[in-house]
Amino acid sequence: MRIGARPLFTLALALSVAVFPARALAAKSKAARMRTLAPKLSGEAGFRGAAGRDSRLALLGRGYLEPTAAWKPTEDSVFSVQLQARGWVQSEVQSSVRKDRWAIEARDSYVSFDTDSNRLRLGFQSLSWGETFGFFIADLPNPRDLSDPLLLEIGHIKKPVFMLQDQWFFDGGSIQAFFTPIARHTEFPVALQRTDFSRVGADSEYGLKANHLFGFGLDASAFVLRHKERSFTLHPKSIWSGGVTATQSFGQDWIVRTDQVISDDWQSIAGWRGVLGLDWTTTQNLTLSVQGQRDPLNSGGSLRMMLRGFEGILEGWEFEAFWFQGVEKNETWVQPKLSYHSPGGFSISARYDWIEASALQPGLLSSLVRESRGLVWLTYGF
Amino acid sequence: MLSVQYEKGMTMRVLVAPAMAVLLVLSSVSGFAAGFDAQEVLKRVDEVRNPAESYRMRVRIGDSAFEVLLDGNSKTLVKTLEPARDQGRDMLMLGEEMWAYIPNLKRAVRVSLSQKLTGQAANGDISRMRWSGDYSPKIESESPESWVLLLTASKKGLTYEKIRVTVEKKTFHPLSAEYLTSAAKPLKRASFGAFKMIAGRIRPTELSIQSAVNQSDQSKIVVESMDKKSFPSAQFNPQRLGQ
Repeated sequence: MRIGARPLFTLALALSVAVFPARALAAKSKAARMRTLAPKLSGEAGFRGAAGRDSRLALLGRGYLEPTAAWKPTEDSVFSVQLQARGWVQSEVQSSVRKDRWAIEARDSYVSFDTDSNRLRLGFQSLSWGETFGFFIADLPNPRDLSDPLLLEIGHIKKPVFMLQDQWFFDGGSIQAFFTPIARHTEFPVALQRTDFSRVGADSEYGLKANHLFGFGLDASAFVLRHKERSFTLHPKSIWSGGVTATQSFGQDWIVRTDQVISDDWQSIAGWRGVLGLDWTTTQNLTLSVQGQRDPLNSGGSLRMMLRGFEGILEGWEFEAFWFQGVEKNETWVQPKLSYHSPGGFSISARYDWIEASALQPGLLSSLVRESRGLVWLTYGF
Repeated sequence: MLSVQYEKGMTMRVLVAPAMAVLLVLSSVSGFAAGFDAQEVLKRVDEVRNPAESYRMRVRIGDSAFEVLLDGNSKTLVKTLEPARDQGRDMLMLGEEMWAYIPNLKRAVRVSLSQKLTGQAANGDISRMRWSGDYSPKIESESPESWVLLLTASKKGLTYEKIRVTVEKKTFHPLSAEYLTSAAKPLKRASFGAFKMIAGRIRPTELSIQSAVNQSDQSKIVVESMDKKSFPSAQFNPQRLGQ
C-alpha cells in the first residue's frame, strides 16, 4: 500500500536509473580516451571546544578531521565518486546520548552521473531547500543532529541520508526528485528515537521540487515531500509537507526572501510555518537582515548581521550575529560570532549561543533549553 | 571622347584605388583614420579584452585565485580556487542577479550585487568584461595618440554608473579607466598593463585598481590564463552551484 502511494517518484527515478547513465556514457565516449585523473583530496582539520552552564558542557574539547575525496576517471567524464567522512576524538563523554570518546561517521558519500542537463546520484546525501536563515524551516529532506553540542552550522548538523536523487536542469530552472528507503531521525540532546532498520521501506521518504527563475528576477521553488516528523516528539510519524520558497532582488542592495511550509500533521506541527525576510547589503559587505516568523510553536522575529571583507589591519576578520525573539512565548536565541581567517588557511572562530526557553511550554527552542554555551574552534582548511 | 574619358577614369582609378586601399588598411589596423564612432571604438576595445563570446580565464587577486567562466554579457560563474578555506565559495551572476554558494550552509544563497569580491575589486570587474551593450559610449576628448571615452550605464544593476576610459588609437588597447558615480564623482581609478600575447592576440593581463578616496587601498587583478570555451546553459543554473 505504501509503495502505491508514491508512483510518481518511483517511476521518475526508475526511468532515470535505467536510461540516463547509458545515454550519458554513450554521449561522452570520447572522454574514455582522455587521461585518468588522480583523486582530489580536500577538507578540514582542527579543534573544537565548548564551555557552558550545563554540566555536560562544563568543558569539552574535541580534535576532528573531515576529509573529502572526489574522483572522476577523466576531466569530461560523466561518472564521479565522492567519499566524505568525519572523525573525532574528545576529552570526555558528554552525555547519556553520546557515550563515545571517539567516532568515525560517513558523511556525503555517493556515486554521481552528471551530464549537461541531468545529475543522478546514489548514496549518502544532504539536500538543501529553502531561502531563509535561523530555523531553516523548508530544509526538510535531511534530519538533523541536535544532540552534539560541538556541531556548529546547519551544514554540520544535517545527517546525510541514503537516497537516490535526480535533478534535471533546464534554462532558467530545474526539477529535483529524491527517494530515501531508510528514514533517519532527528536527534535531540535527550534520546528519543533511533533509526529502526526493521521498518526499511515502510518508513521511506520521497519528494519533488521544481524551481524556476523568472525573467523579472523572481527565483521561486515549489516542493512536496513525504517525511518523518523533524520536531521534538517521542514517536515521529510520517507526514506530508509542501511549500514554496522564493527570493527577489530590488536594486543592487535589497533582497526579499521567504519560505512557506504547510504540513498535514495538524496535531503536533500544526499546519503552516512561514518566514519572510529582507536583506540589505552595502558595498562594504555589511549585510543586515530582518525576518518575521510564523510558527504554531511560537511566532517571532529575528535580526541577522554579517560583516566581512575588511581591509588593512582588520583584513581576514568576520563578524556575524543572529538574534531571535519569540513573541507568543518568551524564547530568546542570541548568537554572536567572531572569526579570523589567515591567508595560510587557518581560521579561528568564537561564538556564544545564549538560549532562553522553557521546557514546560513547547516552543521553537524547548529542545535546546540547556544548550547555552560558548564555542571556540580552530580550523585548517586543505 | 569616350575613349579619353575612359582613359582619364582609368588614370584616376589607378591613383585613387591604391590610396583608398592604404587608407582602408590603415583604418582597419589603427585609429588614425577618421570615421570611428564611439560605439565602434568600444566594440574594438571589447575585442581586445574578450577573446570570444564564451570563454574562461584564471584570475588572481592577491592571495585569491578564481576560475571565471563567461558566456556573453550576462552569464558569469566565478569558482574560487584559492585560498583553500574559500574553495567552494562559488558565485553565479545572471544579468543583474547574483548567487553565492555558502559551504557551511551547503546551499546557494541569493546575494546582492553590492557585495564586493575582494579588496578594491568588485564582482563586476571580473564578471562584466564587455562594456558594449552595458554602456552608452561618447568620445569625450581625443589626442593624436588616444581617445577618452565616457561610458554611461544603459541598464540598471551595473557595478559602476559611469566609466571614463582612455584608449590607445593605434591598438585599441584600454590604457586606464576611472570609475565614477552617476554624479561623475570618482570612486576608483584603474590602469591596464602587462600587455602580452594571450588567447591569440595582445591583451592586457593586469588591472590595477586604486580607491579614489584612499590611494593606499589597491588591488591588482592578474589574468593568468584565458581560453575560448563554450558552456552548456545549465552550467549557469543557481541550483547547480557548489556541485
